[in-house]
Amino acid sequence: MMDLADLTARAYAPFLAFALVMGLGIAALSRDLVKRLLGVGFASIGAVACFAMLTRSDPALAVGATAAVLFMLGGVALGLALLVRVREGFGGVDAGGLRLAEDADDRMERGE
Amino acid sequence: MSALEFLWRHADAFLLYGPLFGGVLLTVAPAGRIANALAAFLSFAAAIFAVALVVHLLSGAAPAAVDPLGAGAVAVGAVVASASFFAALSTAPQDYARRIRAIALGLGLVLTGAAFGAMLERDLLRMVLLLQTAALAGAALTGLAVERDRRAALAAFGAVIVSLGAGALAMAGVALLYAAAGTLDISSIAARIAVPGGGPGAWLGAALLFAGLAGFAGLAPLHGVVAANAARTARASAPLIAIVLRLAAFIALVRFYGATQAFAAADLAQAFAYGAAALGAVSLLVGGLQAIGASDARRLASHALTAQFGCALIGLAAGGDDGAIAALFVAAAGAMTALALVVGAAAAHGGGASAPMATLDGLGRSHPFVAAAITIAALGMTGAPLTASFLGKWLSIEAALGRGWYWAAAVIVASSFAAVFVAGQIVERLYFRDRAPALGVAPRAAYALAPALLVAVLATIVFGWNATAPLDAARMAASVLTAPEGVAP
Repeated sequence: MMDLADLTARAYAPFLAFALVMGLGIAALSRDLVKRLLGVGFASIGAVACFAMLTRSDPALAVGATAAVLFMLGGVALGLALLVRVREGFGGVDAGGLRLAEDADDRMERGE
Repeated sequence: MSALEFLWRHADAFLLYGPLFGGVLLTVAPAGRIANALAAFLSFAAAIFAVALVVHLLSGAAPAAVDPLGAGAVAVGAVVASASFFAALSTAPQDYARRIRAIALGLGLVLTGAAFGAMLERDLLRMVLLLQTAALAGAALTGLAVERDRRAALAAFGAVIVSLGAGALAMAGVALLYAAAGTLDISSIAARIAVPGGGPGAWLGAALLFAGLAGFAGLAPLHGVVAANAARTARASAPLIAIVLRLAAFIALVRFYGATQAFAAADLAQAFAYGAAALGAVSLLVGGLQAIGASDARRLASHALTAQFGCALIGLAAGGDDGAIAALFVAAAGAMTALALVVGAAAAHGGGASAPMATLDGLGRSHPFVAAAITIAALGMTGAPLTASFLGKWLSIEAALGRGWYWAAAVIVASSFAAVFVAGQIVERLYFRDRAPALGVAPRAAYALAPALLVAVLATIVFGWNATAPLDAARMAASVLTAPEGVAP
C-alpha cells in the first residue's frame, strides 16, 4: 500500500498550483473582504504545506515550517480582528461600498 | 578578542536582535514614559553601529558577519528608522492614546529589527519569515491608528492581505527551490541546481519567490495597497512603513535577483533580467503617473518611492557593475527623498491621521524651513542635477543604453518628466497657495522632526554634490551581486 505521506509528496505540484491559483484568484477578484482573507489564507496553507512536504527530509527545517504556520495563523488572526473593526467602523465589508465611504471621508477631511 | 572585534563579528545579531527584542519587550510589557526614549535610543544605536560598520568595511578591514550589501542597506534603513523614532518623540503622544503608545513603539521596533534582519539575511527561508514579521508588524501598527481614523482599519487589512499573499508566493518559491537545490543559502543555490535550467520546479520556484518579494516591496501592481497603508498609518510610524519595510523587501529582491543571474542556464538568467526590467518599467511608469494624481502627501511619497524602485530595478536588470551600483544608489536616494516628504507632511498636519496635499498649501510662509526641505525632496524626486537621485538615474540610463535597452532609458526619462510635474505641483502649493480655512492653522513644527528633515536634505544635496563615499559603498555592495559566492567555476 502506498504511503500517504509519499502520495501527498508526489502530488504537491497540482496541490500547490490549485492552492495558489484558487486562493490568490479569489483574493484578487472578490469584492467581499471575508472572501479575500479566506483566499489568501487558503493560498498560505497550500504554500506552507508544500514547504513542509518538500523539506521533510531535513529535520532542521521543521522549525522554519512551524514558524511559517504560526505567521500564517497570526496574519489570519490579525486580518480577522481588523475585519471586525472595519465592520464596526463602516457597517459592512463590501469593497465597493467601503471605497465610497473612504472617498467621502477624504472629501470631508479636505473640507469639501 | 577586543570588544570592537566582538561587535564586528556579531554585527548581524546585534542589528537584528537589538531592535527586535526591544520591540517585543515594549509590546508585551509597555514601559510607559520611557518607551519613547528606549525606542529612540535603540534605533539611534543601530544607526550609529550600521554606519560605523560600512566605514569599517570601506576601510578594507577583515570581513564582518555582514556583507557590504547588507551593511549599506541597513545603514540607510537605520538612519531612516532612527530619524523616525526621534520624530516620534513629538508625534507619538498626539498620534496614540497613552495606553497603546508603548505598544506602537514596540511594534515599530519589531518592524525595524525584522527589516534589518531581512536586509542582512542570506538564508531564503529566514529572509521570507523576517519580511513577513516586518509586514505583519507594520499592518498591526497601522491598525492601532483606527482609534483616530476608521480608514486605518481598511488600510491595515489591505496590508495583511498583501503580506499573506506575498508570503504564500514566496514560501511556495522557497519550497520549490529547496526541492531543486537542496539548500536555502542564497549564495550557493545557483551552483547547487545541478541540471542546466534548474530541474523541474526551480525556475517556477525562483519566479514565485521573485513575485513574492516584489509584493513585499510594494512594486506594481500592489503599490496602491502599500501606498494606502503608508497614508493611513499614524504619523509616527509612517517612515517605517513607507520606507524601511519596503527598502528591506527591495534589498532582499536585489539579493535574490543576483542569485538568479548565476543560474547555469543562460536563457533562464536572461528571462529574469527581462522580467525584472519589465516589472521595473511598469512600476516606474505607474508610480510616476499615480504620484501626479495623489491627493495625500504620504501617498505621493509612496508612489514616488515605487517609481524610484522601478528605476533601480531597470538599472539592476540592465546588468554590469554600473547597473547594480545605480540600483543601490537610486534606492537609497529614493528612501531619503521619501523621508523628507513623509516627515514634512507630518509637520504640516498636526492632529490628522492622514496628510492631504492641501495641508502643504502656504507652508512656504508659515514654515519656511520645512517647505525648503520638501522642495529639495521634490527636486530629488525628479532627479534634478546636484541631487543624489541625479547620479543614480544617470547611471541607470547609462546601464540601459549599454545593454541596448533604449525603451528602458526612454521610460526613465519619461518618468522624470512626470516627476517634474509632481514637483511643480508641490512647489506651487508650498509657495503660491493659501491654506484653506477648513484645515485650521498649521501646527508649530516640533524640533523633534528636524533631524529627519536635516538628514534627508543633507543626504540629497551633499551626495549629489560629492558622491565619492556613497558610490564607493554602492560599488562595494554591488560586488556581492556581481560575483556571488559558491558559483561553480
